[in-house]
Amino acid sequence: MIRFFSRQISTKPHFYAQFVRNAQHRHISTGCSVGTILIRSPILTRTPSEFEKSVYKYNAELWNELSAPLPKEFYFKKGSVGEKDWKTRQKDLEGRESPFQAIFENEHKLMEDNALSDPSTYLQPRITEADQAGDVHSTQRCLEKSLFLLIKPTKDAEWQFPIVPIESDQKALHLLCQEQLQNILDEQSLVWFVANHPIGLIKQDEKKLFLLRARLVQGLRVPKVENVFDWAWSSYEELPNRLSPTTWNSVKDILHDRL
Amino acid sequence: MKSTLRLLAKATKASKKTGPSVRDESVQLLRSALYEIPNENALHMDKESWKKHEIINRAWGIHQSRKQKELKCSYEKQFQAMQEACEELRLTSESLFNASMTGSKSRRFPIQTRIPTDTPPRIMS
Repeated sequence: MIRFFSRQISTKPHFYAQFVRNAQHRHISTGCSVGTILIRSPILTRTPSEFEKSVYKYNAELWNELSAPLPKEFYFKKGSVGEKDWKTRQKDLEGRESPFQAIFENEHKLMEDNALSDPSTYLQPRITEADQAGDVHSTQRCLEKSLFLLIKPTKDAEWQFPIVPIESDQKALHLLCQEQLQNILDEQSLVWFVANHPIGLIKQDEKKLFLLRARLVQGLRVPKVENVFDWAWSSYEELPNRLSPTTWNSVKDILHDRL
Repeated sequence: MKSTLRLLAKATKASKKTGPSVRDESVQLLRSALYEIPNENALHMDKESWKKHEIINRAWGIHQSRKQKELKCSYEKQFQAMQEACEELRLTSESLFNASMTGSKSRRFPIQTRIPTDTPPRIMS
């Protein structure tokens, strides 16, 4: 929410000059519309790069070497049975990081192979079936990246964000967008608007398109998008392939790989 | 039997330390266990591995600062785009602008928001 904006900006000479120049074009009747950038944020953590992995490993080894060893004189009396027992156990641990590794080695292996009896411990793979099939209609595709919803409302239209034309002054932008998304998505998906004001603008020969930002909260699995000819959940890299060049130029600064 | 008992008694008496030195030692032991001195067993690396260590740390610093710069740049661009869009809206329609500037300051993310995990959930609703 940016209440103080109007006063701050209008005193800047750049904007004042623009205002004076384009005074006649500024009215809703000249083809303004509002669209939503619906984002499915990443479900998985980012995989670290090779460099990062090696640095983490180096630091872990350094930490192990620098950390103070167990004060055995405090815990075990000299020559006691406990001390002898501990010494033999330490010999078994040679080369491993912690005692837990020695005790739970077998079970850990079983867990990683999903061979334990309890199905709630099974780990799902990071690459889903939708990834392998390249299914653009499903939201389960690139789980590490964020996906943006693009729509083709009719057969001949080009790929665009979900857009609503602004007819009157009376209804607020975010309400218009909310209604349109309710039309398109099913009831289960919960959409949350990040702000009520636009975050971006696309100008195309006097037509203005204000863009609001929304996130897909519940219903991360959106099975179907209704009332449109075709829809696609595309990642940041695939956006320039689908969007028109003017749209892409206005939008590429706003969006990001993991948003 | 009596002689062995006497021998045992002698042995235990001889091994038991008495006097102020015992207490000092145990206090010293407690102190060393409780108050660990950091970097007490600092690694003594030879010149080569010290150089490697320096290089690794510097590379990490450069990597981190690059990332921060990219992030900062991206934030600035996003903010600028937002400012321009809002200004355009204000000049186009005052009432729509006022309607969009609503919303309380204590607005939070919805509770159902999930954070990224290492593996996906079994049931994706």
